[in-house]
Amino acid sequence: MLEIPRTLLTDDGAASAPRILVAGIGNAGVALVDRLTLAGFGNALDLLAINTDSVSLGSSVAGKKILLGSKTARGLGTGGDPEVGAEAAEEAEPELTAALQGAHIVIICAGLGGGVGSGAAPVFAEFAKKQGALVVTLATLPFSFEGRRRLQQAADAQAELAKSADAFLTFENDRMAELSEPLAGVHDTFAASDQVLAETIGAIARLTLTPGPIRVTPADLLAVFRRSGSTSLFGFGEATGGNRANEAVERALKSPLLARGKSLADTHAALVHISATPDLHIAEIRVIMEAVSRHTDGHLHLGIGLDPSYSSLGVSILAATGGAAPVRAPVRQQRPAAAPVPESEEATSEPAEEFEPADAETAPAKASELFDTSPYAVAKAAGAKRQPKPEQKTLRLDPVARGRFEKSEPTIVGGEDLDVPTFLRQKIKLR
Amino acid sequence: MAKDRLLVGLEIGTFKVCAVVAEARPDGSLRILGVGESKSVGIRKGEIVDFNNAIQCVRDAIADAEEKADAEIESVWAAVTGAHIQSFNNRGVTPIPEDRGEIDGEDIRDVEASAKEVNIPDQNWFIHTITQHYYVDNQEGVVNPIGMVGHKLEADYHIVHGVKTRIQNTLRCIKEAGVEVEEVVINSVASAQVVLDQHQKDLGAIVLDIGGGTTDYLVYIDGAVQHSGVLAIGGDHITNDISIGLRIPIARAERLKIEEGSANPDEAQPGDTIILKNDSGFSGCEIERANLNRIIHARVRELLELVRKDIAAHCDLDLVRSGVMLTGGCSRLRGLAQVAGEVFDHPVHSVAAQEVTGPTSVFQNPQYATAIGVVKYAQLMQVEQETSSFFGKILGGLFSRRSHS
Repeated sequence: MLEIPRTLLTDDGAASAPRILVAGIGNAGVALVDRLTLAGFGNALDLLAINTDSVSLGSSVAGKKILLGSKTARGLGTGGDPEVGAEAAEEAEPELTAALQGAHIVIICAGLGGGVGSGAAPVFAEFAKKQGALVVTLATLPFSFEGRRRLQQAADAQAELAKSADAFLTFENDRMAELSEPLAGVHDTFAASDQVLAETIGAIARLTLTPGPIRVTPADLLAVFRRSGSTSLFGFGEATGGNRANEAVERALKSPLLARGKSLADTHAALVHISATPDLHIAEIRVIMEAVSRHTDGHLHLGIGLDPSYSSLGVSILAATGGAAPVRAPVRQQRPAAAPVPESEEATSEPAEEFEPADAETAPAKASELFDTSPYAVAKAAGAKRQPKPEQKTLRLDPVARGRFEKSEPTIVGGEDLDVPTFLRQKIKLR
Repeated sequence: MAKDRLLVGLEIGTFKVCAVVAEARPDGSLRILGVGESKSVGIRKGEIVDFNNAIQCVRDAIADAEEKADAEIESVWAAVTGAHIQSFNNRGVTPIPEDRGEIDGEDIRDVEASAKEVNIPDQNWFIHTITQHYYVDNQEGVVNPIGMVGHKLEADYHIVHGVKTRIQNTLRCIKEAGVEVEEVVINSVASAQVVLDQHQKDLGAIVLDIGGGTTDYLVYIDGAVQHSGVLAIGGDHITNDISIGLRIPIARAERLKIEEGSANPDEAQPGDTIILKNDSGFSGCEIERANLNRIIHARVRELLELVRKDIAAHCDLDLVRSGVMLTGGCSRLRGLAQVAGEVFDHPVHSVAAQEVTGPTSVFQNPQYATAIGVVKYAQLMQVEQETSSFFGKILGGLFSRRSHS
């Protein structure tokens, strides 16, 4: 891991600020880099477009471009084959290494599932690691309708990337599609999704580059995104005026991926970055942090960047869900038929279980006949806490259950949505 | 009967809108003349979510009350609640000028203003500033400092604040329904006026008003309000849990809760079933009583534990010597008092409004405690205003007022 000693960071010195290289790999990555270029990030970040398709590269507006595999792919793309993508990247090692020269943080953007994104991105990540850079990957996963093959390629690529990447931000295209209207045009949908990714990169750039009293170090970033396989959440809001702190954090929490802060309940850590003009009040910071902590018990990393040139107060919230809270993942698969309940399990169980019958062996079977939410209960009865549990990578799909409170403001205490029936949350078994 | 002696308390609840018309007797007692009621539509968790329907409910309740009390209602005192309402304690300090030395009403106002010089969110309003204790030159236990001599006056306050726009919505709704609003008071403060007597306040007590959409609580220690809070969970949540857990329609779940439900899980024998008859749009089914009670118990216990945790974080529970006063519509749930006793480890009393006269069916029903409490509060405020008119707005006793215009 790359450590940047605090002493090297002067308060105004952009000279000693880390150099960030954003590399867009494959069509999705190039599109994102284009968006960043157009948004004016070209000065603060090094933007690099990498692809095997010369047509796509030709129309890109990125400052630097590298065409991969002029021999293997002949400038025509990979045809969705990751092996071709990987070969093409290895062929271009000298150029890629040269481009990586001097970068402290390398952000790799790729759409996983295709040939270049899945094939070339892991190779590039390896090169970047060899150069001693901090590697952050920002990947989108294919839509579920793109077929099993692409999903498999994406999963493989994720595993490959995990070997060299220090931090992992994964966005699911399925989720992203929800950001726009169901009948919105294809262009709008992709634009909305690119927008979220671009804002995320912008936020990372801002929070690592802006001088301020509380700087976010790469180590903070890693603490939040170290686990692979988790899904990233990002929210950004800005506001001006007397009530700016409240409004900005409200807007950030309202970002679609945060679902009004509800998604934060599962996070083990979140990064909150406040960028503002130097007249930021300590009270405003408190308001923001309190608003965020109302939704999560996870570790909050705070960063503050002050710059007189900002016109508004911006709040970015970055968090990852998934790996951290296996307990709350839906247990969809059947309980292993021959999982005996150890006696000690019963003895140490929580008070919530006091109504459990002594014959816990047979009860779950009955429960599943009567009540379909009982997998919760089954998992608990089977001693879910101590038995090694297979990791579920599916998104938590709320099976219920706010009922009549579906549309009202949630009652959240300690990160728990109290509108969901208590017996479901406490996994109390009904017979 | 003089017109200005008529007091009307209005509570826009999640379950019902209720207007209590009462007559304030010169001897300080209160006689209820009539209670108007209508079933709430468009209220969730104690707050308005459907403005037009809510206006209609208020109109119905007011019209009903006018008919029953045979009086015309022009203005009301309104109870407000909602998860946005927060509270904290703060101390104010003010020096007494050397040349005067004697404390007067002006100083009381200054000390209160200094206690209010705290950061509350911009969009919030002060709802109550309730005096806890006065200190004159560090002398404790001063009940009324006016006329005393000293150099420094200090006072502790319990300050309640909430989001301005949300309170304004309630006020606007009532105005749209054709009546003026005199003052607002939060549910728990209102309920405490009628379920506690002075002796209980001095001993220390918890008022727990569990309504349809919210649970409002207030803690008195040594005769002063020490803590208050609102948790947006109430009977509605129990109904919702039953509906989801037993897969029956909400309306049926509500009836089942009232008729058969109990928060005591041990009450049901294994195999004890309840048969739900078929109804229009519902084909009828058989449910296990144990399941019903288990669902209710889980919710009730969690609710009470959350309240206890919040109270314990702000107050010393050992100082609550007269126990927990349970009121509000949901407090009629069977077994609730027992669970509350287990959670709080204090005696629990199910109480309704006391110290009022009128139709017993009204004040003995805990559903009306808040609305009656509003009237009692209004009466106290008026008495205070009159006695203090000589000093201007002293309000040495209890509460501060805030104008709504």
